[in-house]
Amino acid sequence: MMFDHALMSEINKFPGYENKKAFAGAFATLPDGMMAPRSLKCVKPGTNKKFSLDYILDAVGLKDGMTISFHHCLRNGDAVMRYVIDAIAKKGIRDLTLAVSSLSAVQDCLLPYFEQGVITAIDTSGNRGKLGAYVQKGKLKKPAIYRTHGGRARAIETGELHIDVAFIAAPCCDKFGNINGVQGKSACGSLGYAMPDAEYADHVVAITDGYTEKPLDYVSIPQTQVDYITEIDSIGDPKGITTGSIRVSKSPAELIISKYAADVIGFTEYFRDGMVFQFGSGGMAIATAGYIREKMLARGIVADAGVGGVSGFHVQMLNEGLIKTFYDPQDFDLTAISSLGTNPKHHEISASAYANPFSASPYVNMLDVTVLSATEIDTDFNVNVLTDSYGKLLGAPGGHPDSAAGAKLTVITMPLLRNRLPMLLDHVSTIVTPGETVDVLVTEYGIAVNPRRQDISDALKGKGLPLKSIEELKAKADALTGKVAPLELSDEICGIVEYRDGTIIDIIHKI
Amino acid sequence: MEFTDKAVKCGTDKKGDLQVTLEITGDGREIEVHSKVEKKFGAAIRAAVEEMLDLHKVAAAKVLVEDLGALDFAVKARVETAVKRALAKEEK
Amino acid sequence: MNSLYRTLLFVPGNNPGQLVKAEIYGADSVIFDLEDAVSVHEKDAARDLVRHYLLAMRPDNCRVGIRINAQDTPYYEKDVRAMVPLKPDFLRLPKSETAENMQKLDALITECEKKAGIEAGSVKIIATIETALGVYNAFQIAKGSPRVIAIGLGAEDFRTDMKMTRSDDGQEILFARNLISLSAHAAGVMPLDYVYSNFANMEGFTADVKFGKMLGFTGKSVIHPSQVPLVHEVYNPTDKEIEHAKRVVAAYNEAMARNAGVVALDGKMIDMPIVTRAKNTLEYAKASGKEIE
Repeated sequence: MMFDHALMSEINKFPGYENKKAFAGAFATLPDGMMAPRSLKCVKPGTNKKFSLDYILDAVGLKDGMTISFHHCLRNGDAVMRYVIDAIAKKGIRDLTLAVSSLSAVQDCLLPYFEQGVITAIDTSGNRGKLGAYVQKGKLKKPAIYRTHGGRARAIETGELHIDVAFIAAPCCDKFGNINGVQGKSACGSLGYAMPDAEYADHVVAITDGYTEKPLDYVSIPQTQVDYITEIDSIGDPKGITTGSIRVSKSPAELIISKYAADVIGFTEYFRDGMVFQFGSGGMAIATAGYIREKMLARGIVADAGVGGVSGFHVQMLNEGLIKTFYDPQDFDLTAISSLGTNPKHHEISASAYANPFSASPYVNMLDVTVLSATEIDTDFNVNVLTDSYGKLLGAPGGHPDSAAGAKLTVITMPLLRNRLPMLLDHVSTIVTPGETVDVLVTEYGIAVNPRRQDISDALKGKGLPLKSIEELKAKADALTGKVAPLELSDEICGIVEYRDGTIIDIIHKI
Repeated sequence: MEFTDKAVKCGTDKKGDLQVTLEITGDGREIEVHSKVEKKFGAAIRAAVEEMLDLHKVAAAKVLVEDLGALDFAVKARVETAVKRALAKEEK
Repeated sequence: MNSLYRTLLFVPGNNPGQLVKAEIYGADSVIFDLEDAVSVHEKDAARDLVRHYLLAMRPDNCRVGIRINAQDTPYYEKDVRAMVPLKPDFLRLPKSETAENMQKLDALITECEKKAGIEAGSVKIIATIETALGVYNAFQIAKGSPRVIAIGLGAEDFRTDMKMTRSDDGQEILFARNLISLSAHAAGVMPLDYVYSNFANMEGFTADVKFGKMLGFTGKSVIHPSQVPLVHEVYNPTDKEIEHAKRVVAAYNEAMARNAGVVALDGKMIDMPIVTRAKNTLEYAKASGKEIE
């Protein structure tokens, strides 16, 4: 896949992106050198870590131009980012880089701080809503960078993303600085996305509404990494932190897609006793998991492990003994959070362990099967999960490219049309996950196997599935939607899309 | 868009459908399209409207299309039904 | 496309969103409904919509039928005249009560086929029988025209016409079901089982499909996509049955090749009905997409 060299030299002009290289293949780029150094620290016994936020901001020496970080484990219920940035703004500090594991709709509340110049650069996975629109107007000092979960961990560990101060929203924190996400009124589950920050930031500050004098019995982030603690009334809204129980999709078309996806998996060699899989947590993903569960029960198959985000359905399978163990970087609902806190077979893992390609093997490498979604896909099987059909920011790479790269079988479930808009195109508006890591596309109008995977094509023949070539499926989409006026995108770059290995795989255009 | 009581309607406000309000007039064709996918399919929708007006030899009309992501065949069908209803109304 | 009519999925004719999705549910046939699903004010709109839909994107993976309005309505003739030129596989006529209904429809279709330059006899008829008189005349209706390929029971309206009280297990329509099945087989057409409208009750539905199969029905009309795979599961032969059928057909072919008088398998004599049944099984198997070597 060609990434425009002219674009690359444009990107290299921006501070911090001088050494960025173009995507060269999913496994082509290897690490070079050592992990980033971290300063030594020393905290004598009896030292108090708990102060007001203002005191801490002075103590860590926060200055103009620094990089601050937050995790997104509180999802759409997060109140910490605003609280901290507001305090920083009041001190007159400006020109900061906001390095977050992702941004949800709730972070639209940060828009005023961008407009005031408190924050002038973004380093994130996701971007959407008003903040996304702001970025796409080109209002940041330099293009935003969009990373995968594994890629962000890599950037932190290699030193490419240097964090001056990490602010860690902590549902539960003891006086020594031990943190967990499974206890407290604002419990959010796995703090996997906060762990690289806690390990590598120059200064680590815990923001908690679940402070306790007593040492924690469950530790996610250890006291050895936490410099300061501040206590506030509420770090977030539970209604936004966790979803209610996710319902299986009721739409007949989505159920058809989910059933096909399960059938596809069932006919391959990867569906066997001892398999390792990942299912997302949307309605269609849960429906697919449901059909797979039926097949597992019918054939007496037990999975050795599940990897990835966890919701109640995954916990049910874990408790039923259909999955032996779970490696979990994120939890979506209370059932999952409770399971993480109590079941020894349910493990909390960092974003780095989960997906960072530059280690002795991230957990995604264990995957036999992963089922992922898409906003768009093209005839080369490249997938978009970051922008919509107009190139507008509304999602995040997240763990999508990491999971697709690690799994032996990557299945994308996607409706062929969304309203009148075709989702299968000649070219996606933004490439996030390269086609070489994507194996099967499942839509309600048919199933297409990547020509690279003749083995899967052979396994699926003669089984009564609506197999089509990707070109046939595209022709179907075209026949349904009719002629689409081509998208006119601006030349100006307002964001760069980074593949998990640090190379640049696409750009975000100004709107 | 202003309509008199000569106007007819066709279609529903369900997803994938459209609502057409149409009135046969004396001079020229006025076509107004409201659609979430205007940028991508606005031209195609207008073309479908024009095609159905041509087919039924309606030289002049006011047409309002409130689209909810309807595919081409549905646009054509709804416009055609509206035209036929309008012509039938005229005959009365 | 397979040659079976295990499932016939009704799709409302005035809903573009649903028309577009009709083909994805795997039904052997879709029936675009201009009758009960469409209000009287929208009959014209539904007719135009189905017409444009078929012109633009007629599904090629299933049979296409149209449920037109009953013969005694003002919409009937317009429906037939509008739909025949599109060459649907069949028209489904509700409230079929007499052989005369079939003759009249046959004649009108013939006229339309001629006008449209379509091969005479292309468009078939499926009769929905939903009155006491209709059930009584089932055999005559089935024989009423060479275009008739199937007759189906419309249970709802039948119960009303018969002033029946609805029961949980459908006992009251048992006789009608039996008579429709008998009449159809006697006339050499397919019997289609009635629409089970409580699609939320999957268990009840599956039991009902199984019972219908027992009575000799070869297919069922359905109104919800979720019902389609359930019907196919009941009507599809198991892998075991397919294997056995293959062996029967192989034994038959081998006996024919040898000019033997008798076909035998595993020490048992196989007569023609068993061979025909085996061939049917393989047809069903092929239709469900399974590979038959």
